[in-house]
Amino acid sequence: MNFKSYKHLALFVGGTLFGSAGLKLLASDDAKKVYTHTTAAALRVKECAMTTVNKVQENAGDILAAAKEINEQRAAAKAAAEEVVPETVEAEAAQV
Amino acid sequence: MKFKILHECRNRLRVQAVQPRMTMDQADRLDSYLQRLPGVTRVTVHDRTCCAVICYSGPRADLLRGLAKFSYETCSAEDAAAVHSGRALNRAYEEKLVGLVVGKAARSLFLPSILNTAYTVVRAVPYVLRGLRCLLRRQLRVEVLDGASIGVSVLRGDYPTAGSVMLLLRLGELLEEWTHKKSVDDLARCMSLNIDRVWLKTGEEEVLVPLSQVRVDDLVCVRMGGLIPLDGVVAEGEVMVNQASLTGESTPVAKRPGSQVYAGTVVEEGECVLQVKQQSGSGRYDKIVSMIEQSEKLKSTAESRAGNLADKLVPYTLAGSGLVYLLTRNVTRALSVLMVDFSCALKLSMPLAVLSAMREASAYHATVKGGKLLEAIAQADTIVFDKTGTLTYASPVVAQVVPFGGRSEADMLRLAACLEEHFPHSMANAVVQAAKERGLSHEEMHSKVEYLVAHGISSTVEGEKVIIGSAHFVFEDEACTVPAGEREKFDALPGEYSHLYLAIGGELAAVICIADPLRREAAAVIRTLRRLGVSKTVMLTGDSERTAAAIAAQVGVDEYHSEVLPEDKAHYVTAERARGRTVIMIGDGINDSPALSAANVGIAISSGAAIAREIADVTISASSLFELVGLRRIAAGLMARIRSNYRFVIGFNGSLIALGALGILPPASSAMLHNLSTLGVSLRSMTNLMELPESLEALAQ
Repeated sequence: MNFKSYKHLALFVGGTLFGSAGLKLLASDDAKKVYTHTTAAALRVKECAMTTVNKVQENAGDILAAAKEINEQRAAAKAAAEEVVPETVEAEAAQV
Repeated sequence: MKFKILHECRNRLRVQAVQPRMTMDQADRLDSYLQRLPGVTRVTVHDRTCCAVICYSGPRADLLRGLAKFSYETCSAEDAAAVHSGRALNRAYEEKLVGLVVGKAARSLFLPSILNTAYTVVRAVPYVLRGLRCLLRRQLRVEVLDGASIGVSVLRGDYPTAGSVMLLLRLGELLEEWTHKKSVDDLARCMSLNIDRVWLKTGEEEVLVPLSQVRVDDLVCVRMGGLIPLDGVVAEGEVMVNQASLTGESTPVAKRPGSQVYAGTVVEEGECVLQVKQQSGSGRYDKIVSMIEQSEKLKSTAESRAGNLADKLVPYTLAGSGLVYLLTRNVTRALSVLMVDFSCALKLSMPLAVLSAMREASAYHATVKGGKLLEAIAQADTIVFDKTGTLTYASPVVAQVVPFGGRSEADMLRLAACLEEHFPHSMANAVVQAAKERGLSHEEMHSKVEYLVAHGISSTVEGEKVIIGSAHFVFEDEACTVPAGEREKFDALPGEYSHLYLAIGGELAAVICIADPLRREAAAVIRTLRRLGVSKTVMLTGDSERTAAAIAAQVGVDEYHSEVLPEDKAHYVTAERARGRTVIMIGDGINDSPALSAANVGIAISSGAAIAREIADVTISASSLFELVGLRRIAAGLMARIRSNYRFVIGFNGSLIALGALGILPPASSAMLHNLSTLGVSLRSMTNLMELPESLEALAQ
């Protein structure tokens, strides 16, 4: 006999084994426990990912708010500086 | 309750509740508690991270004290909000969105390319099938173009392009579905039942009880203009009921003893006693949702036009692609043209723009029941105001009680309060309030009470006919007389108040003078509206000529009419519409409802009569009339945005087609650019149209 027919025989035997014992193993309670734990872990991963996304969103919001405040403060400081200049000009004009 | 401050900025605070996890219910409670704290402008609570972001305008110390006092047990969320807050919906869609993006990234990074390709092919099949089905029905619509571009990419072996096109299409669809569901959800929540007390009939008496204490088979009394609180069967009386909030049709239905009435419908005429058959209505929420979905008001004409245009452009795109192939004999160039279609951008971004505008309007405490109405508000050139409750605060006060015929002030006020307390009119409330302040208690000493719209109330007390109402009703309709010798007292009545006349047995017994202060911002609002393009402002009121003239001069309306009956208000509005003007009507009482339905857009004050709220297309909370200005600017902004969307979509995609036809852009790039621009336009349509102003008065600028 040559190796090719061995290969076919091996595939046939493997298939029968899988169909009878293998499926039973996959559907057994122990296997179910494995599936449940895996699914639970996957859901935890999902929750963790969503929480991370939320955290990133919140931090982005913080940064945006702080940046806006910085700009506002600079604009206010600039406006205050510009107000001083006309006042001094008027004071000088009054003196003259 | 302990909180930790995570980030602080001027007027913005982010705190984290010190607890391992937060349920959605707890998040809702925290949200409603924080929103009720004084000085807080905006609150967002994230249940996953147990964080709350608070924007405030008052002193920081007060806010911190309010936070420290919070605890979940003592704070109970409002029933409706707790049951149907949008939090669960948002959560589900956020997960879908993140899942889509992360899934795509994970697949392209980790999955072996064979599996990736197989996955892409499998996902492409539904799109291609949908396109084919459309073709078989001899319709050339957007699905055909989508199917064509994806199918062609797969056939060419260009799997990354097919994958990215599908991702962007799915993102767009998800965004639209989310926004649509959220809008309908928000709208339904606003339109849900929110009455808390009803008149329970026990024996021969009526008692005001909270809604939660009503049981099945109890008898509840509902009068004209009132809202039917629970599902039931009519036990006594005949009424005309407006079931617009349930079925969408505005013609009233007659109900006789034995017929079924539904929660949330409004009694237009008559009064009845109904026997409660179902205790609380959460089924009503679902009914409202289905009604909104089916209503045609939700979709604006601009949206439908965009959708039709999108479908009409499909054959041109296909033809253009074919033309390029014929002219250049270059398949790549033809494909570059095929990948670009105006259509999906138009179909996606327009509904998003309209729905976002409706959401933005709710930030101004206005509930807009459909996209068509925003269009009408933008085009309106006439605004008709009701006086009481709209231009004036809805809280008039009794200034003086002038008794006639030797009777005492206290008795007359007591009698008036006893009659007036049954009716939801602001003048009635003033009388009842004045009696309460003077400590005058009034048991129900009258028999059947009859209310004649815009005229007055009549009843019988101890055998004598008692009527209370306007001058027209008391003197002309019922022919009552001033007691002998008191003519001068009558003529000397102060003129700046509104007068309520009380007559017993055909003779004038007392005149109640009611002061109705004008809203501070009324004149400024009318000026601003005029500047925003409303050419005609009108005031219609049932009040006397004297008071109406004074108010009109103060407020600055272009036209006013006094002593107007409800039907005349409706006639006026219809006449204006017949002249080709677009009319907005604003009112709050029962007597405004015919005019509200006759106008292009009917706006009701949410604290007014139930029937006005149900019939109107828009409800505003009217803590300040500047909300009207906000509405108008949002509507104008929406129209501008729709136009700019058109320009951008057609311009950008047109240039993409030109570049593709010239061979400068390969199909992958043109597909990518087209889809990114579509997503970009859609996302931008979802942003706010105006910056949220510091205070409503700032809208006057």
